[in-house]
Order: sequence, then structure tokens, then C-alpha cells
Amino acid sequence: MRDIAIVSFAQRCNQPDWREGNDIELLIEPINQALDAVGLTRQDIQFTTGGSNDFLAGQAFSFVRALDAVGVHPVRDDSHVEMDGAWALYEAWVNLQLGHADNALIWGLGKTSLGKMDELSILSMDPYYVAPLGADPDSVAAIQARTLIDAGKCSERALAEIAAARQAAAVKNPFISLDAAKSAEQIMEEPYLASPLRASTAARVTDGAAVVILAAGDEAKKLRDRPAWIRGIDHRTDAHPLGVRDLTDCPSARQAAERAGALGSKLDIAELHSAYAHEEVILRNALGLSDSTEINPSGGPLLANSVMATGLIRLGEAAQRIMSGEAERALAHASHGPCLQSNLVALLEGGN
Amino acid sequence: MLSEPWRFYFPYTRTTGPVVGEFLCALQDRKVLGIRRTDGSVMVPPHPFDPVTSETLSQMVEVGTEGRVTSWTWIAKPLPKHPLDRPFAFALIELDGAETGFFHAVDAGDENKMSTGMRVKVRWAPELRGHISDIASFVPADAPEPDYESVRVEPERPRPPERWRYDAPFETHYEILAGKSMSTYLRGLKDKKLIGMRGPSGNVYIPPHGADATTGLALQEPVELGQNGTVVRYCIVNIPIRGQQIEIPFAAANILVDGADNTLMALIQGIPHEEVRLGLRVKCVWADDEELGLSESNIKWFVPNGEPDQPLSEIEGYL
Repeated sequence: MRDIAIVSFAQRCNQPDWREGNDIELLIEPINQALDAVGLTRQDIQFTTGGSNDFLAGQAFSFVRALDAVGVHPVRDDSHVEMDGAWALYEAWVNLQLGHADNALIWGLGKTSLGKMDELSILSMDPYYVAPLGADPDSVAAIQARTLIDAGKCSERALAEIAAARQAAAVKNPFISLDAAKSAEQIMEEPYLASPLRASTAARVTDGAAVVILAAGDEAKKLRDRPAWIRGIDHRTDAHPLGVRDLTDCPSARQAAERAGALGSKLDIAELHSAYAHEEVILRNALGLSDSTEINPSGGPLLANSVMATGLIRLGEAAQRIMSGEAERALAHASHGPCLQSNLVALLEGGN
Repeated sequence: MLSEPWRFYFPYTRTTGPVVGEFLCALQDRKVLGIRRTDGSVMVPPHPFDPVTSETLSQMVEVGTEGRVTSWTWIAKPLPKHPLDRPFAFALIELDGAETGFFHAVDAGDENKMSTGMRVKVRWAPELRGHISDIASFVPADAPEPDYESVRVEPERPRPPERWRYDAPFETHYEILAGKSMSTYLRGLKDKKLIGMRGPSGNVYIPPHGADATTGLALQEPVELGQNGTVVRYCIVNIPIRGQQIEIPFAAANILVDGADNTLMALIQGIPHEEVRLGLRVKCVWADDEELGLSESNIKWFVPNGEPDQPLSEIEGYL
């Protein structure tokens, strides 16, 4: 296995209804910033790949447009996944492991405000039994939240406390637009969005873009004094039908963590793709995170769900804290599908 | 920044396969079928595979039309795509004889009537069409029967359950943002001007999408181009398409507008289609003044401008 590290990360906005440009214009700046931070240009990059979704863009082959921002000269290997950018990063990691390239630029792009996320998400559900009923993501997540509460694994109050803690962190994050954090008491006074979920315990969908640069071996050391080495990375999937799963657990996340070598590891921080407060409870249990692991120091996705970039941002935020020396070992998690169906886990480490 | 409403319509037709088809057709007989899994338990609704072992499943089992709510959420403000237009619950329901949760709506009237473990029963729709919505919703087990008799509605062309299919159109709406560069370009079209954007590479793009495709950097300044250009690629269209305004065959071309570094796609008129050629010099013909909007349809087409052909050696990189 080659040593491969995240050497750079940049993101843009994560705010609802960003109207300063189109999707291409949203992506240009974080690509510039991620490259500038390590003194590279687009021409230095050997492999590019991204994660985005045509249904969000309202346009077929929208990723081809995004290539304008990635830069296509000189001609190089390029790829794309119709998934969160975290899975594009996985593909790039495999490509680097195979020795096809020594560096890679990965982008995730979510201009969610163009369409209606609650309607578009329905298309990701079972097309015979669930989608015709208009099962939107909040409703499906709320059903999972109640299974946890009924099982005594959390309470509505506990969910409000999680949301309040993440808001307190999000206020300090310049890449999340939030003026003031709410207290758990204030959150408990919010009306239900889909009971038992409220606005603050469910994800706020935003527009955003994220870019990560990977490099292998000596190239990584050359670009960063302290790269965030990917010690393990894996992704696994649970069954799609909602009614056949134990919704209080997330076996695929645990399996991915185990195979990434993150299970039982002493972790300083964990960046979790928990778009709902209760998903954090499920993941904390499934991943065996201890109280000494700080969860979502960035504020997490609750106020910044830039769909298709959210998972890649988790990898970037975790790596950023390792590169800055704030953390030694971090877990980054990304998720796809209803009720945490599909999960990716990476173990990141500083040092050599 | 310009933006425009955009309707997306997907005229999907779903083919179900034998297992899902048998389940949906049985709903027309007011029966609910499950399927026996590898471990002997019964899954409702049935899938043709075991979600744990991935084994192929085939043994259909009739289950009850009553069951128990295992989890639920109250939807106080239903969305347009929800099955009910009044407050209702989405729930997982374990039907009698089944061991899995069936996702559906519960029409309970009030959130206070909902609880985990409550008994519910199927409320059949007035018309049974072999679709998941033949179950209009579930209702509390003690709810009175409806004041209608459900009737079976056959499809126009009868087909057996194993070849069951139905229309499943999906419509949704967007508000598409043109972006900075495209807004500049579209505003130019309204004034019958071809305005491109120059990027850091020095290249001028028309239409401009936002980035300098050569460098990937943001486009910087608007550049008004002339109305003339050169045909650098073309094809003759012989296929009629819906909404086609002009007669086939006709020529569509990539035109290198004078001063631009990429090409604009437009129709060629004013010349027999068989005479359209590489290097042909053309000029822009605009729509009538009263038809001008913020749209590419302002460019009606290009016609020959009478200038001698541009030597191919000068446009080599675009051919």
C-alpha cells in the first residue's frame, strides 16, 4: 500500500440560496484556494474527479459543465461519481494506490437551491413502494429518530442538546452562515418539522462546494509539513428497504470503520455526516466513539448540508485539524441513502 | 443575476418484475402479499431478493390487512407530493403475519391518536389499479368503514402480474440561475449584440459559462464581438424533432464568431443546405424586435455574409 494523504482542503459558502453565480462559478474559488495552499496549479494535477448530481442541477451531464472550472488543459484522467464527493475521494485514493497518479484533485458540488430537495430526494427512494407515497428525507429520518427514542437510546431533549452544541460550534465556522446559536431550550420550543424532528434537529440544506487534494508518499511530504495521512478508508451499504433494517443501528458504518482500522482507535475528533441530530447518536454507538472524541468540531452538517459536498467536507474538516496540529488522529464519515443506508469511513493521522 | 423557472418532467414507466407485480395486482383483490425470506420470516412488501443474504426469493405468502405501528412521524403540513392533503402520519407497520415494517401513511386525523404499537388496518382506495396507492392509507383499527365500495380498475391493455407496468410520471420545478457570465451574454442578446467573456488565458468564450475552460479560472471581462463568423463544423439534420420550426433537411453549425476562441452553435439558412461548407463566412440574423427576450432564441440563425471563404489553414485548430 502507498502512503496517501490529504494535503489541502477548501470549501465555499454552505449557505441557503447562494445567488452570486451558477454552479461553475461556485466551484472555481475553492479549487483556486485548495491549489494555492500547496503551491500547485491546475496543470500540476494528474487526476481529477468529483461528486455531484444532475437532479440537483436540473440538467443532464451537469458535471461536464463543472469541468470548465476544474480546467481540462493539459488533457488528464478525469472521472465523476453521481454521489457525494467523499466517494469520488475514495475513487481517487484507489487510483493513487494503483499508481496511476501521484496526486489528485477531488471536488464536491451541491447547488441545492436550484430545485426542491424534498421532492428530488423522493427519486432516491424505492420506486414501487416508497417513492409513489412522496417519502421526503425529513419524514423518513423522523421515523428513524422515533425508533431511537422508543428504544430508550435518546430523547427529544438530548437531540435538542446535540443540535445546540453543533450550532455553538457552527457560529465559529466562517463556512457556515449562522448569526446566533440557539439553546436547547429554544430548540425544544420549535414546532415539529416531522415529529419528533424540529428545524434545528434536521439538516438545513445549503449551497456549497468543497475541494480536497490528495498526494502520495514523498509528494505529500513535499506539499505539507504535516499531511493528514489516510491510514484506512472503506465504504459499506445496508439494505435499502427501510422496514427490514434495525433502524436504531448502523451495521454498515461499523463495518466500514472496522475495515478502515478506525474501530477502537483513540480518536481526537470525528467529523460525522449526521444530517439529523439522531444520526449522530446512531453513529456514535455504531462507531464506538468514546466521550474523549470531539464530534463535529466544525459544526457538522446540521446547518450546512450542501448535498454532494457534505461528506467530502467531513474529510476536509477532519484533515484540516490534523494538518494544523490541533488533532493527531481523526475519523471522517460520509453517508448516502435513506436512514444512513450507505457509509464511508476514513481514519486520518498526522505524523509520519 | 438572471434566473428562470424551469420545469422538469420525467415520463417514467415502471416495469415491476414478477414479485412486485404479483404484490401490486393482489392489492386489486384487497389482499396483501409478503414473501418468505431465507430465515423463514415474511417480508412485506415483498422484494425479489433477501436483503441480508441476497438470495432470490419466490414464495409469496398472504398476510393480514391489520397490523401494528412500529415507528411513525406526524406530518402537520403535508407537501404536494404526499399522499394526503391533511395532516397525517408516515409510519412503519408490521402487518399480522409479517416480520418487517411496511412504509405507508396513517390517516389518524390527529397526532394524539398516534402511538408506537397502535393497531391499524388498510383503508382501500375507491379505485384499485394495481399500484401501491390502492392502499389509500392505513387507519386506526377501530375506524369505521368508508362510505364507498372499492372497485377494480383494469388497465387499458390487460397484462399478467409478471409483466406488470404502470406510468409513474414525475414533475418538479427549478429556478435556474444563469450565473454572472451567462447573464452578461443573455443581456447582450436582448440588444442584438454578441457579448463574450475573456478569461485569464486571453481566450474569449461565447457563450460564456463562468470559467475559462483552458485555465479553469473565472472569466473576467465582457468583450463585444462582431456579428460575423466562420462555419468550422456543421451537420445536415434529416430527423424531424418535436417542435421543429423549420423544414428538414437543414444545416446546424458551430460558428467561430470573429474575435471568439470557442464556437457558438446555430442554424444556417439563406443557402441550400448542400452548399454549406467549412470556412463559409456567415452573419447573425436576429429575431424580430418584438420577439427579443433574454434568450438564445434571439439568434434566429446565421446566413452567408457574401465574404470569400476563410482559408481552412486559418481555422485549423477548430475543424
